[in-house]
Amino acid sequence: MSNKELNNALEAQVETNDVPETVEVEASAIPAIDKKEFASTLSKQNPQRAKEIAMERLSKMTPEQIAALRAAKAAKAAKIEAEKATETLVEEVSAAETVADEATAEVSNEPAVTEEVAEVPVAEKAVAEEKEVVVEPVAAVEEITPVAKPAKEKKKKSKSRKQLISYESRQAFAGFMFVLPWFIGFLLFFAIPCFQSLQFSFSKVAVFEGYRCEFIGFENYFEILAGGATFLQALLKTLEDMAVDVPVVTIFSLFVAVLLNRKFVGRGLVRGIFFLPVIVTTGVVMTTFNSTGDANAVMEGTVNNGVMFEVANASEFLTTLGLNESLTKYMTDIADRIFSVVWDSGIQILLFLAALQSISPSLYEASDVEGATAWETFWLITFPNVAPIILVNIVFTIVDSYNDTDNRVLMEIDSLINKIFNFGGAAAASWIFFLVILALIGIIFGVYRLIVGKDN
Amino acid sequence: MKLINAVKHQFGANSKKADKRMWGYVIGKFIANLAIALILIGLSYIILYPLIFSISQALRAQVDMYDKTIIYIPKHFTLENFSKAWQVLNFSTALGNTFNISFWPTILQVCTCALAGYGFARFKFRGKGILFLLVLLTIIVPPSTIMIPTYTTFRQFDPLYIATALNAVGVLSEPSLDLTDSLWSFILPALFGAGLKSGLFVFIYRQFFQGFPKELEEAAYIDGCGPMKTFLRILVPNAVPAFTTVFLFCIVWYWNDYYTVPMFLPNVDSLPSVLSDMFNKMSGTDGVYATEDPISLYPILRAGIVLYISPLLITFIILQKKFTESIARSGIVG
Repeated sequence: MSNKELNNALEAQVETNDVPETVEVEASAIPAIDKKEFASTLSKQNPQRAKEIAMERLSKMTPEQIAALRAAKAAKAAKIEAEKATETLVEEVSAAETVADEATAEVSNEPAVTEEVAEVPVAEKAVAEEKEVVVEPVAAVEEITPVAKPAKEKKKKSKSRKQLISYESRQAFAGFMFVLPWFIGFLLFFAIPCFQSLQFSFSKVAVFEGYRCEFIGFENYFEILAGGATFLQALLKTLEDMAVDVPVVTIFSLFVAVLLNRKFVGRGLVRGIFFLPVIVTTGVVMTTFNSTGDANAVMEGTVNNGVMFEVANASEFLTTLGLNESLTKYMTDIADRIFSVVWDSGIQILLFLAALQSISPSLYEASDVEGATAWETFWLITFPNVAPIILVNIVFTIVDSYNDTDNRVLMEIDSLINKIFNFGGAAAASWIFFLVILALIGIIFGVYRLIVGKDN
Repeated sequence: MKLINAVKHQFGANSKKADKRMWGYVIGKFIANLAIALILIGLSYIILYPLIFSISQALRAQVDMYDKTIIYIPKHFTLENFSKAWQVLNFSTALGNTFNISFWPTILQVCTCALAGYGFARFKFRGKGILFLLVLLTIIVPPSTIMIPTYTTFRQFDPLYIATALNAVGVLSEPSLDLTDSLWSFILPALFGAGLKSGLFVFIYRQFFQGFPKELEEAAYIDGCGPMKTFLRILVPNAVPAFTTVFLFCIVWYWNDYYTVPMFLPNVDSLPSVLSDMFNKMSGTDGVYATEDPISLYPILRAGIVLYISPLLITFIILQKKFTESIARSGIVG
C-alpha cells in the first residue's frame, strides 16, 4: 500500500510544486508513530523496491523540493483519508505518517542515503527558521557517518549549516547589541570604580591633584576592624536593625497587600494612600519633618508641635495598669516603629499586590467550593503563590536600607571620608559591609531554596 | 435584606438552628470587616499624618503656634508662610534645577534600560548569565563603596584615554575632562544605563519582556523586521505599563536624591539640598530670620515641605490610577 501511495505522491509532486503553507503545518502536526516499527514492516514487504524509489527520487531533488514533496505527500494522504471512509482512523493517520516519513525511515536501512536524508530535516529547518516552527532535533540522524560523500552533497550541506549558524549568531549579535550600552556604562561607571575602590582598600591613599596609592596590604582592614571598634559596633547595630526590620516590613506589607486586594468601597483611594510613601520617599522630607522634633524637646510643654502618638503618656498609662516595665518598653517601641515600618514598606506592598493580582481567581473559587476556610486559603493558595516575591522583597528591604539616613554603617563610612579623609579605610569598611550583605543574601537564598525544595 | 436572604439560602433550611448560625455568620463578617476598615483607616492616618500636619501648620499664623488648643484647624489662616518659604528656598530656581537633574537622566535611563532588559529577556548569547549576575551585583553593592572612585572618574574623565589622545592632538587643552559641576555627570551614566538604581530597572524590564507573548515578535520577524525594528514597532507600544512604572520610579528617585547631587553638582541648588538646609538658612547667625523665635519659623519650614512635595504629589494624583494599574500589569513579579 505504501509503495503505491509513494508513487501517487511522486506524481503529485511533479504536478504541484508550490504547496499551500497550511498543509505543511498540518503534516508536522500529525502525531509521530513508531518509526522503527514502520521501517521494519516496510523492509519486510518490499525492501528493495522501497529503497530504489527513495534513492531515485532523492538524488534528483534539492532540499527545497524535498520539503515541498513532504507537504504534497501529506496533502495527498489527507485526500486519501477523506476518500477511504471505511478504514479506521488509526490506520489512516499511520498511512499519512508513513508517506510523510518515508525518506527518514530509510536511514536505518541504508547508510549511503543518510547524507541526503539528513538534508531533509536540515533543509526544512532552514525554511522553518523564518517561521520558528519547532522541528525535531536531527542530531541522531546526522551522527551516522555516511559511506559515500559526493562532493556536491557536501557543498549543499555546508551551505545550509552556514545558514543555520548565521541565524543564531545574528540573534546573539543582536542581543549583545541591545545589552551593549548598558555594558559600556557598567564598565565605565561601575566596574572601574569598583576596581579602584578595591585598590584603595589595600592602599594608603593620598588625594592631591588626582590620587596616589601606596600598597599596604590588609592594614586598612585590620585598622577598621580592630581600631576603636566603632565600625564593628555600627555594623552589628545595622545588622540588628535589619534582623528586626526585614521580617516586620515583609510580614506587614504582605498583610496590607492582602487587605488591599479585597473588594471594598474606596479601595482606589486607600491604595493611592498606601503608595504615597513610594512617591514621597522617606529621606529629606522625613528628616526635615522630624528635625524640629528635637528642637521641640527643649520647648516641651510650651509649643504645640504635634505628637502623633502620645507615646510617653501611653507608657505611663501602661505602667500604672501594672504592666511590666520591659514589656511596656517593648510595646511602646513597636508603636514608635509603626511609623517607620509603614513608610518603609511602600514598594513591598506594591510588589505583593501585583503578585496577588496575578493569582488566578479560579483557584480561590475552587477552594471556596471545597469549603476551605480563609486561613487555609491563605496558607495553601495565597502564600505559595507569593513566596518568590517574599524573597524579592527581603532582598529589596535589605538593599533599601542603604538609603536610610540612620544606617549606622554608612554614617560611619561617611564620617571616615568627610571628617578624617581616610579614603583607604572607608573603602575597606564599605567592602566589609558589602561582603557581610552578600553573605546575608546568600544565606537567605539558601534558606529559601531549602524551604521551597522541601515543598516540591 | 437581599443579602440576608442570600446568606440564609446558603445555610439551607429555615430552622431556628440554621437561623442562629446565619446570624453568627453575618455578625462575624461584620466584625471582621469593621476591624479591617479600622486597621486601614488607622494606617492611612499614619501615612498621611506628616502631610496633613505640615499643611495644617503651614497655614497657621505665628500666634497659633503658641496656642495649645489648636490641633489641626488653625484659628488664623494665612498663606504668608508659603511666600516666605518660596523666597527662602529660592523655589523657582531649585525646582528648575531639580527638574533638569531628574527629568533628562530619567528619559535616557528609561530607554537604555529597556534595551538591556529586552536583550536579557529574549536573546541567547554567550555570557548572558554572567552579565545578568553583574546587573544584580550593581543592585546590591552599597553606593558608598564606589562613591570616591566615581567622583575621581568624573573629575578626570578620560575613557579609553580618548581625552589624552585629543589633548596630544591639540583639540583639548587638558589631558582629561572635568565633568563634576556639570549636568554631564548625570546624563552620561544615565545614557549608558548606569544611573541611579539602573540595575533594578533592567530587572523590571527583563521580567516584563519575558512575560510578553513571543508570537507577535515571530510575526514581525516573518514580515522581515530586524530585531531593532521589532523592538520599536512591536514591543515598545505594548510595553507602556513597564515604561510608566520605570519612569515614575526613576524620576521619583532622582527627585529625592540628595546623596549624589551635592557631590557632583555642589554649586547647584536642588530641591532636596535646599530643603535640608532650610532651617539653618533661616535661623542661622546670618539667616534671614535670625532674630526671630525659632518656634515661629516652623510654619515656614512646613510650608517648605509642602512646596517640596507638591510637584510629586500632583503628578502622583494625576497618574495614580495608571500607576497602580501598570504596576500590576508590568509583570514585575514575573
